Amino acid sequence: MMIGQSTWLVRVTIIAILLFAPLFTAATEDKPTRIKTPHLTASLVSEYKGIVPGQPFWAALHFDIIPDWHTYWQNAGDSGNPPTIDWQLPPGFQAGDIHWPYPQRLPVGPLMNYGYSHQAMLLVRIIPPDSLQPGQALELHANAEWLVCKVECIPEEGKFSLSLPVITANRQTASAWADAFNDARQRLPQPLPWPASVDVNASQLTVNINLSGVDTRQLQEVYFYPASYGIIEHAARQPYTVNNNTLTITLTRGDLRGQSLRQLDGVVLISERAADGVLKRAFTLAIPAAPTPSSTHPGLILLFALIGGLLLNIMPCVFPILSLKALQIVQSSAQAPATVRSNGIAFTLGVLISFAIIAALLLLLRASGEAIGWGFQLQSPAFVLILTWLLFAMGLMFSGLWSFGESFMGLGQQLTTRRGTAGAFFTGVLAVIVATPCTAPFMGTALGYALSQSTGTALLIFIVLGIGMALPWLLISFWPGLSNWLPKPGAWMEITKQILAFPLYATAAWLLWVLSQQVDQASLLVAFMSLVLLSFLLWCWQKLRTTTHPIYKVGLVLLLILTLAATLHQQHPPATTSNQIQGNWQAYDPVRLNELRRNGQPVLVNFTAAWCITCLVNEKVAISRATVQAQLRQKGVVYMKADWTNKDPRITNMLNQYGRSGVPLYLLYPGKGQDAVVLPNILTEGILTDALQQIATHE
Amino acid sequence: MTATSCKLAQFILLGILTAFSLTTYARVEVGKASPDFIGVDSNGVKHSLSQYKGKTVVLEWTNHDCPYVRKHYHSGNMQKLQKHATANGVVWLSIISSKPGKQGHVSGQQANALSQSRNAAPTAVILDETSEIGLLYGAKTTPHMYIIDKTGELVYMGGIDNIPSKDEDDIAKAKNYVRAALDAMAVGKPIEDNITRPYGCSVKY
Repeated sequence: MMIGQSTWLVRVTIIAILLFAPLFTAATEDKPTRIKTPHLTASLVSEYKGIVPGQPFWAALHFDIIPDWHTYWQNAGDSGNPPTIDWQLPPGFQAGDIHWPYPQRLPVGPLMNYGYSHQAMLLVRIIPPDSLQPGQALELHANAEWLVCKVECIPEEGKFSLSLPVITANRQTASAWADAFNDARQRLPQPLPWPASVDVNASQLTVNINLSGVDTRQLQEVYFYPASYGIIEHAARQPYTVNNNTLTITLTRGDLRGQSLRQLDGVVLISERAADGVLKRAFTLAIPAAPTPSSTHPGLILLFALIGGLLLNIMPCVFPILSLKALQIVQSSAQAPATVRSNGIAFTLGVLISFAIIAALLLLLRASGEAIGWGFQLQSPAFVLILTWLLFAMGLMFSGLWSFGESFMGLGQQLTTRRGTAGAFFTGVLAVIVATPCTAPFMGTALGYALSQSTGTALLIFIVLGIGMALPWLLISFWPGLSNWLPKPGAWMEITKQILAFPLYATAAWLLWVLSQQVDQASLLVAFMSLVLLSFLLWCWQKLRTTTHPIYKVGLVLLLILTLAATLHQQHPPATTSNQIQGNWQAYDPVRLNELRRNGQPVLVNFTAAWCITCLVNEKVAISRATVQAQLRQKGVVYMKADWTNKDPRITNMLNQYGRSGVPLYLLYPGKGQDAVVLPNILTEGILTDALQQIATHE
Repeated sequence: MTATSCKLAQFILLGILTAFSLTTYARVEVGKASPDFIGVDSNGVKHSLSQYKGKTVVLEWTNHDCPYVRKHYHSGNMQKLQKHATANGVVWLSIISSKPGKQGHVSGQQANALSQSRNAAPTAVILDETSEIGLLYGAKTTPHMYIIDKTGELVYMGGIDNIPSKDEDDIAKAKNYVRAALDAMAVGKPIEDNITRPYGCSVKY
């Protein structure tokens, strides 16, 4: 009986709701969803027919404008005014800023305006609270003001109301406006997928965009819409050229030309001829302007470079070399001050020349338009392998398997002056080569700056880095008093040398692991075998040392070179790189990232590489911790990995956008279309959980 | 060979375009000498900028039919500022650059009638129907305001205030850049905001 009664009650309630529902809508008639003025019809619209609790959705103010009239973009240009929307939403609702589809040019006499004719769709992301109950009817109110112009301008305004029911996710259906939303979203500017820079002088801005992978013959038109007033003269022509895939746009500076430009913000619209008409794509430009020398402190950057260079000495990957140097100095402290000094200078020269060569290489690559960054050497399997051999061979030498002449790099009892100098020089070279993967925090800043500078300045920064690295050793060689704390030479040195072999083996093992990320399994086996062969050949070398006939030695060296060359030849990249979702993370994909961001989904992007120790440590101690992983799931955060082990221009671009020239970089997009928060380079569980705590729970 | 000549043509074109873009506007610049002009006012009297050397000069681009100009005249805001300025020895030139037949274009008589009916108090209303002065100064909107100091240097260009709306209620909330600039100049202080975004209707060139 009870059951029967309650069913009846439910039915009556439903009928009552159905009967009174029209009255609810009638009550909103005083604030319509659509307002018709003499010049346009304005409507407040939603992409979906209902609101799902906690599920962000798109709403829009839509203008259907009569011919010859127009409304304005976020930057209206020389005259006019952008529309404004003032939301009055139910409690717990949040409305974002207007997302502006790219505008069109609206020339008026000698002036230039930016806006929309015929149709304008101003998109706004709305986040409803989780606490909504399906069955509720909600009203979104918005007061909007806009200016509509032909030549003369009419300010108009409207108070809108949009009534939407709260429904469950499985009941959600698209409204009649869904296609308009899709069209408008396609016209929203996307993050620029190419590296870009801007040169600033008193009267012009020169924007360079490296359109790698674009068939520039298909370019039809390029236009830059500045985000705000005064950046450029809106009416001025924007001549552009394409040279070796670099697009150069020349802009005339606007009213604010007397002030320094920190960052160029705006939208670049690229029109491309395609099979079926013209493809227009808008991209967001946010290029930090190369600072003018007067406004920044190049001295400070040079100081950072110096400190960065000093820090390189205590980086784990330089440590074995550091010890080697310590031994060398102990060795030479017994010698004449002049010898010690010349060793110090030779070492410094070795460091400086190596840095200069790396700098020249980087700048050369930059000039050729390659997307590069620090640590790029380790993206080459050949370089990794050569470095492995070098470290492995050194380890074997430290272990006593072989020796090179009487001494190698300043080690040995009967060190001659000349050999000592040469040894010191190559110690310097070696120290730099081995130090390259270690991007100390200071160095990252200096290098990021260096790569955005003129060739001369960049070179100077690299040289200062080198001076920083060599400085302690140079000082000790000139004032041997400083090295008094060093123990006296003795039998302990041989033991120390043998012990030091092990960090070298460890580094070689790590490099092999890096290599394993870059080549297929067969290549890896060849690489392992080459190490065995290398140790065999070195052993033979040692056995043949007493032989007077040089033919054996020459033969051995030839055999060694042949082995190495053959091995290098046999290194192949893996057949396919998997881009699928793997475990708890997804491979980085800019398109997918944009998609997720548009959907308001929070995303954590981890820019990493197999050869970046800091990155792997961060993953270990922070990202992959159970608490962090649980929090990621709870907050609905998508975890993306951008693996820079091999060169990937899409990742390099993103790094450049954040002023970085290398990994690590951690970006946390809090969702709701908000910009990314850059997390510190050194992550801890606490830093991550705090950052994740800040974002609203998704779904 | 064709590639070279193609590149050459590109450069020549680039040069022409750049030259063109530079001639669109003469460039007035804050901190530099303001270019001289001669204009005829609503009573047929000639005014030149140079004749006012030694005095502060305000240039106000206007168009009585523009809703943004109406905002500042209907509320009395512009007239109040004109009186405040001229009472302190400032020369105030309202300039109408609308071409004949376009919105805001008026005869001298109409201009005087407008001043009288609106109780406006400029030193003179310049009729710039050839757009010469407007283009020389790169005036873009109505209102668009310029201030030239006693030495003939341009010290302010931009909007009347910082709230670009057509709503009169916003005037009380807004920072009036021109008043702030004139007040700063009167006590010998630097002008805080000397280049701002002008807002309003386009000048009807």
